[in-house]
Amino acid sequence: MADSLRLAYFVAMKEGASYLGGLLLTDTSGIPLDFRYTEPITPTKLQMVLYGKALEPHLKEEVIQKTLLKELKGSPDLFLLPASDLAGGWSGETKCPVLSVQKTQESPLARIGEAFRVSPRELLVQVSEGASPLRVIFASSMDLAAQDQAVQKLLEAGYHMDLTEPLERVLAALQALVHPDQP
Amino acid sequence: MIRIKEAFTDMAETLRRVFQAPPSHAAALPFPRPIQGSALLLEATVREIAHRFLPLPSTAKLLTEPPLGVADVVLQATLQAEDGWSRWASGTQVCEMPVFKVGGCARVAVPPLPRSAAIRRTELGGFRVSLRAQREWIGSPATRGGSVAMGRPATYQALNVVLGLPIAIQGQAFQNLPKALGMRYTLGLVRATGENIRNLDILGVYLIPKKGVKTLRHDTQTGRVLLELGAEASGAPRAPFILARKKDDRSYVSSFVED
Repeated sequence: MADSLRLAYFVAMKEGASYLGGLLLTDTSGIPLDFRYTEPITPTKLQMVLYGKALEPHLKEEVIQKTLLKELKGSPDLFLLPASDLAGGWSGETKCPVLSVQKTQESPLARIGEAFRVSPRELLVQVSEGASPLRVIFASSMDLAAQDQAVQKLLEAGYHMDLTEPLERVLAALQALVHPDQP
Repeated sequence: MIRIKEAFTDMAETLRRVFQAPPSHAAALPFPRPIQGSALLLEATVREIAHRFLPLPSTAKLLTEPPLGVADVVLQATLQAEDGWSRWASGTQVCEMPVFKVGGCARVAVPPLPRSAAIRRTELGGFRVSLRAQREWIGSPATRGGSVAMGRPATYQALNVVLGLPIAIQGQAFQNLPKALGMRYTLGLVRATGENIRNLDILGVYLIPKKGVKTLRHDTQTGRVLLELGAEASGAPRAPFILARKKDDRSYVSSFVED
């Protein structure tokens, strides 16, 4: 059951005046199944003026994310992205649950699988024994039933892997691609 | 009654004669020249009264004298007659007015007034507006098609880049495994390494790819193993991997075990 899950980790970053993004598809052990990234997009000065504050969300959600998802074969089971992107109001279209996972310093919950609802879109989930619970933030488009299903998938994957670590890998990979000379 | 009719006949005859040939005269009736003036304002002056009441002592006249006597009144009857009707009938005089003679006067026929006023139609000339063609148009500025749409970026596949990065694999706590499963894993490790089980500290059981693992490093703080994988690791089947450390020299021993 756990082997069939596919987790997509998406990171879009700004490097100088350019934007690029990467999408890492892993199995439930965190083993990469696919990794794709976009070429850097440098908006023109006119585009920066005309798009204003909507430029960065538009690039991340509409341009980079959609392009990368289109390149993927099949749809992932979970679509994870940094909490900062999700907190800003993610409006991208994905066919899978969109969420963010963060480490916390909270006291461990009683048992694995237990969840504490902080807000309608936020949960503390005990994924591994003895460790601090993870903060799971869902996209606003997910209802409670979809959130519960996503939590079950997170628990399955979290049994074998660190759920937050692949995001760091995507970021590191993008940095390595942008600056190949740096160690 | 007959007399009244005759009187009317006479009066009609008189009037016919009078207006038989009405003379016409040029009447020069200049309008009097308007006099311009101003009306005097009424002024009221206060004057002192020139007379005054004076006390006049009077005495009552006493009728002390005896009456002189009253003469005798003699009433005399006279015959009175009304002869007004007879005098009216005989005293009527017909005024003989001189007959107007037809002189140098002529009858002036008063032209009849027209029944309707003549209307003269005057064609008003239309206002003429002179048109001047203004050809100095402001030319349309040249438009430039600067599309602001963000084009789809090209994507590249770089799985090897990610596989080259260390991958952290969370291990299963050995003490949480079912006892039979733990014993089976331990037996597999002893068989593979030949080490004495009493000399081994089991660090964990990890589910890692069966092939494509380039390096493996154990993170003592988190208990995870960090893998560097090759391209063949992607999609490779995974198997339980037990990792232990020898108590005597602190070296690591490991083995894939049967699931």
